[in-house]
Amino acid sequence: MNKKYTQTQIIDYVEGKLPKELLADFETEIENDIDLKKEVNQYKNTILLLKLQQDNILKTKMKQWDSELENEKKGKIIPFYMKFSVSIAASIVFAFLSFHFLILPRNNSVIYNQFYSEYEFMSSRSIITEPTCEETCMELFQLKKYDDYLTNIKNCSPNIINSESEVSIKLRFYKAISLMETKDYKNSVLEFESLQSLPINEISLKNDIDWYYILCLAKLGETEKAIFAISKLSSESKYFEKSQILKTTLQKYWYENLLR
Amino acid sequence: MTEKELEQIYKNHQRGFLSWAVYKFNISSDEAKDIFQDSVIVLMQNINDGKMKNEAPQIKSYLYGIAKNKINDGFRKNKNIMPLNDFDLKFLMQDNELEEKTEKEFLILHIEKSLIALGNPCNDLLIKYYFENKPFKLIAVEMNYSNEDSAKTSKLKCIKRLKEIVYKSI
Repeated sequence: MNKKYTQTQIIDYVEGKLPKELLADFETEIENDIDLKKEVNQYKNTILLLKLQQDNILKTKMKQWDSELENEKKGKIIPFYMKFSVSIAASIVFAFLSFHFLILPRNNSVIYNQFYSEYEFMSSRSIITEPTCEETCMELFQLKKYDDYLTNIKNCSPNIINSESEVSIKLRFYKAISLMETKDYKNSVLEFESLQSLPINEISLKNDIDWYYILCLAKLGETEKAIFAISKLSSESKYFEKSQILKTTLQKYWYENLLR
Repeated sequence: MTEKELEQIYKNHQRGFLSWAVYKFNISSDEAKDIFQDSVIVLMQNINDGKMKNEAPQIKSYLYGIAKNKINDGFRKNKNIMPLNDFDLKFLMQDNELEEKTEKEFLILHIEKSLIALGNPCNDLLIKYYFENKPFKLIAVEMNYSNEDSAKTSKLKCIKRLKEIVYKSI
């Protein structure tokens, strides 16, 4: 094994604490040095196993808490007629009063017609003018015609697609999603990566990009990269909770495969 | 987060959660219990990591949010439905559940044996650091190390030794 890196550095890498200036070199070294890769994986698996064992201890404790709760509940059981006597009496009085005094709407159609209006498809472009290439793309995407979207976007001007404007970023994001939907995950990942390097102000779009990027990585089996991307996901993201579950699943899946 | 705090959260939310999950998602009480336990573990990890605060109103919505996703993912898996835009976890879980469980039990047994072989104080030190996410400063105080660096060095030695034991006996 290449002795370029100390045990401390290897463990720092596993724990995500290796200084940024060493990270790129270290990752290149992992690709080239099988022993180093093995060492890194063994540390990762050991830590994951440790966590799995602790989860198991917790679950045993939780089962004990479940039985405690069950016992408490048994001690508090009240006969049905006692527990609900007041509610039953109140219901009888209410039913009697309703029958005599309340006038309820008899015809649902009346209410329905009052609120009904025909659904209108909203499009940002004018009906009179010819749609631009970008507008056509947007509509194809909205209609979930992902293959057509990918064909059509090739006809749009590169000046528009490659700029850093809001429209261009949206189109490229839709392209990445379309690639993903057409199962071209590799190119989808590349598109998401190029989007991540752009200055995007819209936080929800940024979160969407990060989340679907993670999913594509997971689909491609790039587990380490996916876990790293999850760790960078903002806790404000609407995908945050989901991502934590994905992370746990990926970790389990990962070490199970490695130890197999 | 202490064990007492975790127990409190667990006991405060377990009943409400079970009725909600069984009623809303039409799952069995045992399934709801499993999901609740997994969700509490995720919640605890996030509190320990400092990703969220241990505050009552937040905890309830967070816990239910995690569980909801877990249940929905489980449903997709069972019904073989995979919405185009949301092909979450299903494709990662292709293994036979029974085999997975047996393998998991084997792994747990294996690490338990390794930890016994490792012994204390290493055992406690690693759990405090990796599972409870405690900083070295606190670990040094709790475990009577002379300073933070000394705890750090010990942790390094301990994880190295544990790794050797785990892989030696496979």
